[in-house]
Amino acid sequence: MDTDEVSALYEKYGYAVHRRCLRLLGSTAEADDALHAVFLRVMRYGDTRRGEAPLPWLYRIADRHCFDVLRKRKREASPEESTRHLDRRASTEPSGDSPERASQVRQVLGRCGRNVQEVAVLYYVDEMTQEEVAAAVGYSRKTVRQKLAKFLETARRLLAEDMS
Amino acid sequence: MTDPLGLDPGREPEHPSARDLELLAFDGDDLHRGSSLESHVRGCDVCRDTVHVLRADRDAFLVRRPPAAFVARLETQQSPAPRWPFAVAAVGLVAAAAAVLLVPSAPPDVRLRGEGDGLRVLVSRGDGPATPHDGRPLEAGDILRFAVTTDVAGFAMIANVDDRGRVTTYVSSSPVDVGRDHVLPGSIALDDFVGVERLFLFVSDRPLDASAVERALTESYARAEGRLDAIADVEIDARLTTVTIRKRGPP
Repeated sequence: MDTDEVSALYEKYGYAVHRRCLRLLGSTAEADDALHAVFLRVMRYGDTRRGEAPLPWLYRIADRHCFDVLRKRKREASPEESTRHLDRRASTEPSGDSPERASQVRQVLGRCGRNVQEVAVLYYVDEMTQEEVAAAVGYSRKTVRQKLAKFLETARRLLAEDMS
Repeated sequence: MTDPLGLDPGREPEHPSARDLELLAFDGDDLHRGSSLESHVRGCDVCRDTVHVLRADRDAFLVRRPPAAFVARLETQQSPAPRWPFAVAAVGLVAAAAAVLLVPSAPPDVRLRGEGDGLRVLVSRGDGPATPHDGRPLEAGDILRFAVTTDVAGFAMIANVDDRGRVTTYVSSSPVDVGRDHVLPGSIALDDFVGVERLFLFVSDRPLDASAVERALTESYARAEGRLDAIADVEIDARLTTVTIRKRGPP
């Protein structure tokens, strides 16, 4: 994809991609990295988009990058440590969740398989219904429910580990 | 399905999803003209406000991170970077008993986070002009200044860690603009310390607290068990670029 096309995409959607990465990763620096990685990929492979709507396509690239980052992360800092590093003016995450809750969700996401991660983000971040999630990823509604159950099961297990 | 995290998908049944509102906000009205989504937003104060805020936030984001600078940086990452991009400076170097060798293994040598804001070290000796350093030996007493290239309008700070673990702020948090070679205020005079030092450039869209940065570097050095080259995780929410300085002792 040439630089004019990339620039036009960035102007329209760069903020949206950065905002999403910030929400998934919880760190401005990592969101900056992710934004660059996404658009570098767009620059290199953007011609393969094949008519898919641009924003869902960009979100898909961003999500996969962020999922890899979350999986590679060592145990995220405890909520207390996390809040110490956050800008004190931002008392809540972009989603409105407390930093502690958002940190927990990221830890859970990092422990899940790719398929569960995709479904959980579409459901909880994008607020899609189970039917919409199913249509977006090509699963049956039953499979979507199973993936969401798996996500919550992972959450329960992690919380139990934290408390023990 | 019980939810141990208390997560709430958050969507009111009569409103569109967050994804749909983002599509409308960022795609633009034309793509969704006449749709049920556009019709709902036109008639709903809450959703209309949401779309308005998203667009305003995007406009502010693009002021801080303009497309031209962002794409220019992408292009430099597309092509292999030269080992050191600056021509050799014709500086009359004098062999010294204690000299400082500025050795960028790659400019910069490690990108801990961020794909690389640029850090260029400018060297002046005596009454001579400042010239970009190309890796040749420097001398104690040389004056260093720092030029930063970034695609984020915000703040930059430079701190130094030597191989005894001493952390020094060289340049306090200073505003920087998008663009190339923004020369930071202040300068440092090289002392006769013999050993290895690492310069760390931090770039953030918010002011940087020197004491927090120094504390983070101290902790990183401790986690690296005293190995400067093993500092890999500095807990400061900022983009980070680093260059290693080596000082040769007398022959």
